[in-house]
Amino acid sequence: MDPPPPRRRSPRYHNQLSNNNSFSSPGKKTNSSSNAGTETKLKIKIKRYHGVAKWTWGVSGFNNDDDDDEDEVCIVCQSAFEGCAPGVKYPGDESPVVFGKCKHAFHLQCVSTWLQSQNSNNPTCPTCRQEWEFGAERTVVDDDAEGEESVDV
Amino acid sequence: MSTSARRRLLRDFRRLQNDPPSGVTGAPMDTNIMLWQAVIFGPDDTPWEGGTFKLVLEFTEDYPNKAPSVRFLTKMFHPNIYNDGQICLDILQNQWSPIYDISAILTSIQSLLCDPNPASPANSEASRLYNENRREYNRRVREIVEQSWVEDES
Repeated sequence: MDPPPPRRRSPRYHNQLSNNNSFSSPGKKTNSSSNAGTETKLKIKIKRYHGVAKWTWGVSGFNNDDDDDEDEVCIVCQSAFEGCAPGVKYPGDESPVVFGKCKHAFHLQCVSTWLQSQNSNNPTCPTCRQEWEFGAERTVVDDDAEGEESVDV
Repeated sequence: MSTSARRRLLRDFRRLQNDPPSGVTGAPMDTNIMLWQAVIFGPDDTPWEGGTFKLVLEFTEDYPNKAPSVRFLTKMFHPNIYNDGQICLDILQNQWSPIYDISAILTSIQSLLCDPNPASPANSEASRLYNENRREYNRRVREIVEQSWVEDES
């Protein structure tokens, strides 16, 4: 079996303020549909900021039951997909998330232990009991690349 | 000592407390998180109503990849429950899946009370009465319910 993990999203850098010493008020911007010239420049000087990056596995929506936050955890170990699978020290590449052909997602370590423990030539998916086959690599569409800004002035 | 089974059991415990299913309750023993005691309340509007049935669940380090062993401590009268309290339930045997947690196990056992599976009898008398003489079966169940209230004192 050759489990291809889904591609991890590249870190998102939320800070959009790299070259500006001042920024426009978002409230004004949205209200000024008639005339872009009414944008007000705020007299703020940015002395320092911290860029904040965040990554996720992009699993949401691929699990069938995406109606609550349960799809944010690996249902086998009940830990977050972004957390560590059992026996793994670090999250991320050491604790990858894999999909079956049936589209159900688990930590690689969690589903592997289950597949082995079944002692069967046709091990099954923990969720739907279909015969387990690793799904193909997924390309995740970055649906909210324009994330919220996070600034520390 | 921290293992994946223990870590998972702690998560089960937290989930059981934050989102308690109706009619069942459970907690690990003080000294051993691998050993749990649970109570299943007989569902309302059934012959089981009012009963408080105690169980013990024993987990191994293979949990959640292996089902726990589950046994009633309270004396039962049910087609799928052996005299020693062992339960004949598919999800505790060949239909086990690691997606089940303690909540799911207890809820499944609770629903088994009113929906016996005639295909796998564990108590032949209960099974026969359930099929042939429901009135007598229900009377025997009511007896078990009443016994469940006093068992502790005996």
